[in-house]
Amino acid sequence: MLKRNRKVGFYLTLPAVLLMAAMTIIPVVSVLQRALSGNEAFGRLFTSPGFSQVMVNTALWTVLSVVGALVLGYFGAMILQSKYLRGVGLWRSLFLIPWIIPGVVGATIWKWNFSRDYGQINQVLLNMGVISSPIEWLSDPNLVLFALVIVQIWSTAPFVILLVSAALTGIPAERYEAARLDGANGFNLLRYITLPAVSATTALSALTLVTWALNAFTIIFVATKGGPAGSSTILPVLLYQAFQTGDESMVAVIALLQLVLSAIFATVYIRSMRNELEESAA
Amino acid sequence: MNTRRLASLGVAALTAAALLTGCSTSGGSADGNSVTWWVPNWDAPAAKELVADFTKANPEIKVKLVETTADTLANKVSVALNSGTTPDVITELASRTQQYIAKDQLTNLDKLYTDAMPKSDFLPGTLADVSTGDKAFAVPYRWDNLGLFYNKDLFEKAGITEPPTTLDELKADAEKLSTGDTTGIGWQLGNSDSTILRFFGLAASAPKDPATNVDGAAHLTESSSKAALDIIGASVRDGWASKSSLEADSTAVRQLFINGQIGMYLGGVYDLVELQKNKMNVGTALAPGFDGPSKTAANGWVYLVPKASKNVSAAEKLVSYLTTPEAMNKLTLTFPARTSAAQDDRFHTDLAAPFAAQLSDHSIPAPYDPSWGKLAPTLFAQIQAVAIGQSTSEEAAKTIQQAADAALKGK
Repeated sequence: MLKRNRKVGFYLTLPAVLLMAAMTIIPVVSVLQRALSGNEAFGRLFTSPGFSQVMVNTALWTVLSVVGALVLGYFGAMILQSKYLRGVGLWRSLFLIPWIIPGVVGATIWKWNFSRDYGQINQVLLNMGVISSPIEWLSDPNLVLFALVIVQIWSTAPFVILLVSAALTGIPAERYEAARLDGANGFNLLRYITLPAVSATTALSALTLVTWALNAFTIIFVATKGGPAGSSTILPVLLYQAFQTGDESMVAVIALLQLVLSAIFATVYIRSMRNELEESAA
Repeated sequence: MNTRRLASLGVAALTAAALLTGCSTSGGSADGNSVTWWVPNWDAPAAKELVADFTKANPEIKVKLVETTADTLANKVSVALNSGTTPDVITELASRTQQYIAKDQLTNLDKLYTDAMPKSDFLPGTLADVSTGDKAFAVPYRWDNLGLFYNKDLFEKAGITEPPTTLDELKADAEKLSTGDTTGIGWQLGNSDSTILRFFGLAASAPKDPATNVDGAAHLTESSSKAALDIIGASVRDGWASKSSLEADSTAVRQLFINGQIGMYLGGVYDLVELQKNKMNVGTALAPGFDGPSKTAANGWVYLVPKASKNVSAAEKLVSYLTTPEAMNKLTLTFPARTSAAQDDRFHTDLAAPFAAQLSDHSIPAPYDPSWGKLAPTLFAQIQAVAIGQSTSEEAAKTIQQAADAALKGK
């Protein structure tokens, strides 16, 4: 009976397994095959004058946007957890808006916000007397990547708020009460109770954010197309530029590089998930 | 057991079928009486009227309009043609046609050029962009290039009596206009296509070793690139072109002009409608060059019928209708590609006249060879690099030349 059930289960899952395999393995093999058959593109990519700048941009973009989203996400989750806050459901819904709205819409809104001439940000800063002339957020090569990081943080922090809020809800109130009785102050509660209790969630959030950052395209492309002069070009934007110029071997090589980077983080992600499951089971 | 196995396989087959069916897009339908036409959003209102007239005369053919946008069009068309899931008619930029012809993705439309639509009726150069040998793979319907728009009120205020005719005059006028919140000129340096087309026009007008277009391939020289970079890039760096140029596309530059934040810009004749709607006291002139009028890159829009279309015959019928002088006149925002369609008064106003003269006497076809597409990211980045002061014109011209040589060699 058990053997029969297993077979039925196998056949019922087979369509999904086959489809998932087709949708993941075939593209990966195709990218590998294309990259290796056009391997001269490796040399062109690694020796191109802008490649080091793209890698530095990608690293900066990833680190800053992940750290920023985590900090802001934690902050938002703590606020939602506060016993002094009224209308938590409403606030949670408002905080989630940036994550829900389509990427192109969000990027376009921010492109206008950062506009030198029409942007709200410059207008507010000018009115407050903080600046005397408009800042070129999107056309100053020293500023543009940081401006775009703000947009990425804005769009991904709600995801962290959601996950961390759920994890915070799971911490028993007794722990905090016991710690207070032992004389713990606010910082100690955060350091010794809250953060350890949500560490697994933090790891998962961070790894998801890294994957998103490494695959981010819409915000940068809509706002600056990677400019000015490559100042905001990261790997996915470079890949698209190669696609636009019909350089298929370069597309495959950049895709492979992205695949390797994502795979490293995916491995860490899967391992941390497995550890979490094992801890829960224990 | 067999029943269960069959049931499982049935589920798998149904799921696959459902997914494959779900993958169908806005491509053409297999129904022989239905035509899907990808039309740019700015043409959509007039296109709806034309389709209504067409279906009245051809009730057996149903036309479905799918609106496209300028930013996504190239990518969308390329993906559709490569995948083989295509609409039946596509409105596309003329300069991109050759890359599709090279991949054998288009229907030969030579049979549409009959006595009612002779090739001799088309503006010079329009058919070259869409033909291989004597076979035409598209029908051009709209053609345009760039001219100079200037704000007459700002000119008067600055004591300038005539529009500039040379780049030296342009610079002098722009410097006079650059006071307070106004800057002399604005460029579309936030948009790659707009930037490189303006660059190419200036490079092709360079006094020494000008750039040329040989069979659709741009042949640049270091001196021609430097001459163009000295104008486009250096004007922003030196402050007589708006700093906003680096984040502006065509619409944004036009808006800066309407707001009085720039005194001049190079734009297409289609901007006149919007400028007049805003009651601008606007003047138009030939694009100033190094020693008289500059060449500007001429480009246009064409109708394509993909080879993978399932309704070629109905698609050709629609294209035949859309390229009649009346329909062409109705749809074009600039100049029609057929001379017989250009009789309407709106193509002969004082404000449109410089654009017509620019098109007939001072234009150069926009490059369409794939090497130009490969060069585009380098060109765009180098022009921006000069504008932000990251490179000198000499350094950028050298980098561009290396990339141009490599692109022409097919590296």
